[in-house]
Amino acid sequence: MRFSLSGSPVRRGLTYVAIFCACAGLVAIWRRVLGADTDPFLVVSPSHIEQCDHPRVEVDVHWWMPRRRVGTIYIYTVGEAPEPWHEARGRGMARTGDWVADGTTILLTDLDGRVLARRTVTSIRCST
Amino acid sequence: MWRYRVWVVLVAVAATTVGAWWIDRLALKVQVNSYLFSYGFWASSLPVCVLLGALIALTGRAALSSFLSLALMACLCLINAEKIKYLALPLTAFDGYLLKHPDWNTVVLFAHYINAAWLLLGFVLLVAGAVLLWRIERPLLIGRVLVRLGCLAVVLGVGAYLLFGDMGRRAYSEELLGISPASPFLTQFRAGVLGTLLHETDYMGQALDEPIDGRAVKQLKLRLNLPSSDAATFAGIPPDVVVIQSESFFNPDVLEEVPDTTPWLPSLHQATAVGVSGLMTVPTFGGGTLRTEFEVLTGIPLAAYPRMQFPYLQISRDTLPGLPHAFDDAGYRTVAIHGNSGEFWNRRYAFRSLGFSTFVTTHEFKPTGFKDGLFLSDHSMTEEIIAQLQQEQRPTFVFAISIEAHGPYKGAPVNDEAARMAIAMPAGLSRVGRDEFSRYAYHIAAADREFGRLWSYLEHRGRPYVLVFYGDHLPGFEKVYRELRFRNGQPAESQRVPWVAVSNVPGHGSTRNMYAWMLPQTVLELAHVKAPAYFSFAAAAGREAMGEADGADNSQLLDGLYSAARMQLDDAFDDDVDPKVRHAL
Repeated sequence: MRFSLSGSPVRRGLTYVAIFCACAGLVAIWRRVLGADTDPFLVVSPSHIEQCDHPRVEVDVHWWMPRRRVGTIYIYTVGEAPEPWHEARGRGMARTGDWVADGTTILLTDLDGRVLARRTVTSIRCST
Repeated sequence: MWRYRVWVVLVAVAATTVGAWWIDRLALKVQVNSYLFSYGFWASSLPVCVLLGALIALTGRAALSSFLSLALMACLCLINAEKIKYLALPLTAFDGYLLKHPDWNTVVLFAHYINAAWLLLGFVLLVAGAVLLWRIERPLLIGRVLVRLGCLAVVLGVGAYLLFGDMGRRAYSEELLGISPASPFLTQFRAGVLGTLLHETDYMGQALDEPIDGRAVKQLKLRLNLPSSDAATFAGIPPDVVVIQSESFFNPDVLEEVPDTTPWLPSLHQATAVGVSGLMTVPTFGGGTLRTEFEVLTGIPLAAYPRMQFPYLQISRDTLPGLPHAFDDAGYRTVAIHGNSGEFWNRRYAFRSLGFSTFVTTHEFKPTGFKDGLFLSDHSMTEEIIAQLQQEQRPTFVFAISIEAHGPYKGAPVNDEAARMAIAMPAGLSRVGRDEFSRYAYHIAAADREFGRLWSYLEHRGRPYVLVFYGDHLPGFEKVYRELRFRNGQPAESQRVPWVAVSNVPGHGSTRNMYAWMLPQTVLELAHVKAPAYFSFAAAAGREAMGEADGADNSQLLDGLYSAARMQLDDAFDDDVDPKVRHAL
């Protein structure tokens, strides 16, 4: 059988949509099989702090590592070397001490050191 | 058609400014969109837009101009990242002083930190990308030379107006950019590298404009209660004095994983046991030798001049008070020795101002001098010191600055591979870390060996001598500090270097920790040479500062000390306190 994209514009359009859906489906199956069904993520809350009233705060760090993957969460202030802080396995949350400041970065890496996500806390100007 | 051109230029501006900010963030290793569209972003984007506009006017092509602008930004941020990696400091406008004094030896020294293969690849990609874009991109303005030149003039004119002068000073002010005087990293994080550089250019020429608080000086003089004269009494032949500033020297046994260093640093250990020694706080880390050197030679804490990065490049005086002048006044011949170009860091001019009568640089070294690794060996430097001491009967003050142990270390050659392999490696280092550490250890073992050889020579020479040896700063490692820990739990930048003095002149002291600017007083004291009043004052203030409990408010003491240092630089420090003032205080 010979595949052809000739025919009416509607038919051609539908063929393109079908090919796209098939490719998307294959990618989804491949990611599910490999366990890479979701990208790792990292959320820091709050991600902005008030410079004057609260220059150092506690923050909640939420993470999600796809199944069978283990990572490490590092914390560092801008210009300094990352320090390991927490192991990241599955879904989790941890609270820091009240030492997170403007420029503090939370970094999620896999065990080979590959960077998976990076979040940096910034500050908002003083209201006065 | 004009609407299309405007759209193309606007898209290029948006892509280039956001791309430049993204590159900026990568160099700082922070989230790429942090502070995107903040004031710092716009302030950093302005020079990018000026460059882009100028390139569009010149080439007539938006994509090509955007590509070249981003390539330039990438180069700048790469230099920034490399400086952070080795010196733990971001790029500052003061680094531009190096460009004001171009010297081939400076280029060669910094070239050692660049991976030539990556540099070549980057250059090839840059040229290929530029040629490709030149060929495939449809020009916005074909011909129309006058229109393009007009655009160029407008862009440069508006750019100069906005970036420099009063307008620039307001736009790049401390308040608007969120400058943090305590942290250059935080400053760059908020303002971007370009915003920070433009902010700093405003006060680059004002490094010496620091206030002098005469009252604080007088109060400190009273508090220290120093004798009015510090006259030395020494009846015998004045000793020869040799001070060695050893490149990147520290004792690695301050690292938890490093075993006893006595087998490969025997002279340091022996001198510590029999001489005067201690730890010294220096004003630099990983590089910036001249900062420690300046403090040791002048007794002036660089903290008194927070905007001074490179003192020899930023101070232009015919005479600078300091250690060489003190020895000269005492009848000494004063010699400086350094196995590099005299133009590096502008030393030739600075040493003349400081009062050295002779400056021996690479060109004057004996023909038998040789390199070990990338730089002239410590063995060759010792030979020069001995040659200088043998030249005449007058007592001699030699200040020698070594260079053999200068970085980079990773993969750098050494003359004796077997000796390198014989040094015991600390546990916990990666392959790169081991390579880096072993090559560094090899060079400082050579420094220690040469220190021992010189010590032995002076001991057997039959003349009085004082030999002082110290490290100028900790080395700039790429991996070692990340993989090992310091016993005191402090980061590498906060560590101190060892200093040690041995002598056959009577009257030694014991262990003394100090700041680098306290060393000249100690050197003169050990040599029984009359110290200028300022040296005694600074040393006493330093001891007072070190004796204060951590966290104590020593701002009054520092105000007095720094003001005294500024007076000293102006050659206006007076050790007497007017009795009326004494009474009033």
